[in-house]
Amino acid sequence: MRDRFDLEHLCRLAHLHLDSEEMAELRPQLEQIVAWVSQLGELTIEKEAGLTGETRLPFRPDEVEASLPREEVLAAAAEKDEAFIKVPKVIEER
Amino acid sequence: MSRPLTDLPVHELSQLVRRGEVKAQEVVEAYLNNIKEKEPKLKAFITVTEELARRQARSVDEKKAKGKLAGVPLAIKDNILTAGVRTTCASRILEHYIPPYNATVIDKLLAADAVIIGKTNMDEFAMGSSTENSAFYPTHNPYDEKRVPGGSSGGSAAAVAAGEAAAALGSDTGGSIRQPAAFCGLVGLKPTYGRVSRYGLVAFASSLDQIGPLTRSVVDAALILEVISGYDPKDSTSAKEPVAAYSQELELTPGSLRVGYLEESRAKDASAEVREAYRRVLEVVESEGFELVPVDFALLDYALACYYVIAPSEASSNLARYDGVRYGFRYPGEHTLREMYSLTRTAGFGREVKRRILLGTFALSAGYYEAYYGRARVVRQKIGEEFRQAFKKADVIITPTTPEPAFLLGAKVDPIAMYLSDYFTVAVNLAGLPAISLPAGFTPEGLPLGVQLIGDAFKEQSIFQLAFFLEKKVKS
Repeated sequence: MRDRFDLEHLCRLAHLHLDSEEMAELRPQLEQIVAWVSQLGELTIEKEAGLTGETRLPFRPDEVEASLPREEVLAAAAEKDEAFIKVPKVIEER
Repeated sequence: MSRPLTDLPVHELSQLVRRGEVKAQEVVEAYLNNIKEKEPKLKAFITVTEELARRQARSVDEKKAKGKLAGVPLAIKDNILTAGVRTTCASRILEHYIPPYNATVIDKLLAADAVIIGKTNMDEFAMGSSTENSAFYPTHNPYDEKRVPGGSSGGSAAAVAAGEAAAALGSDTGGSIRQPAAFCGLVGLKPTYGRVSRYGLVAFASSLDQIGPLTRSVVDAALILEVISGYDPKDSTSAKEPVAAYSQELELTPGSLRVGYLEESRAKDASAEVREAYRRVLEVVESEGFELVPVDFALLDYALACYYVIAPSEASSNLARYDGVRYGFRYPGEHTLREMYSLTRTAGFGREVKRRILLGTFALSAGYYEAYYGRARVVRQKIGEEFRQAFKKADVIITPTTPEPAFLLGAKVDPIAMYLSDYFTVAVNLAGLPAISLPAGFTPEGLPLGVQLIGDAFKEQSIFQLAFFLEKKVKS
């Protein structure tokens, strides 16, 4: 198992932006944790062990039910405009 | 009455209220007084729902309520949604979040005429073992205020141990009910995966999370499980398994169960006090005529590593929903959508949450998925298989709950050292089994110790019965 990783890349994937102080703290810790969990690679597990009996969750019946009142849902949003939740511009200008 | 109301067990208290011998309003006032007196030092709560509790108690009295939990003031971990009451997960990102609906467990408690007295402190998003990862403040252990109450349900445990609530709900993903129960001298149950609906529990690791009670006695834990269990169409992982009258069937014939135990070598990393308490409990079990069977858990040493791949992977996916759009904190100012996501999450999440999101992102990322997440899933299956083999020989398995008693606040700065607190508990979550932590005496300094009783899936009754039997015999 490889235990080095690209922290900047992971931050981009996870939508996190760490400052240099946080980077300096988290990088060695994460490397240490990854090295620690890599012990799972040491285990000898017979090939055929594989995954068995994976759970499949049942779907509920597709019935229309009342949803939450719009005002209550909107009350939790950070920014809103009448009946809508507001988000920053999605299409960026060049 | 000789004993103060706040000392009474849940089943006695609710009986007095049902018979009209005590008013729910008196009970609530007694608990609110305790909160006023003790909370400045303990900090077990994030929100005390004083007015709501008074209103609910008044309604219990007015309608002469007959529910199983009539007039019983309960504390609720702050990752369980309560309609109209702030639910923060001890995170800045949900600091001002007021949910529009109740978790199913809350509806069930209220239907049983319980009273909600407050929302308790926790490690942010239930990630931690000490409640020090709360974005607001750490909680202190009522047995020694310099020490942690455990975590992540540390506020719930401290509140119950200090008499600020008659009992509490917590959630357990890797030991988060059982470990704080052990640190605070309480009974703490993690039910079988699927036993209790998680609708309205803020998701951390969905294949592991369960809600359960923290109480001062086994019968109270059984009573609360009875109330909160059952199938819920809103949680497709909840089971259709019938709910037993757990609290009514606690008697056990001595010797009637086969009890599995860990061989010395598997418990070697536990402190001397923990090993001594464990040995004493096993002696009682044997002297009462139960058959003791050694069980071998070759994979116990790997369970933590397995957990720290699976749980962060699921967390990284579950916590993707905190984007500053539909609810929760949004980073202020004019930004592009992507910048807003990133600024919101960076300012909203604490260190441990970021650590776990990044760890999970890594384990699920292209090129590493099979080696980490894929591998952990296979190991998880093998751990389940080891338990299946063990339950052919034993009906209940006893282990220590924690490797050591409550540690000092600030003592564990290294993340892995903190993770080791869950050495004995995580395997149970990986296998989806029920387990209870039972008080097992004290250290010479007076710190509580616990042992864990693990049962086969949906065999909560067996662990309740054995715990009830042992409760009186191993307390001091």
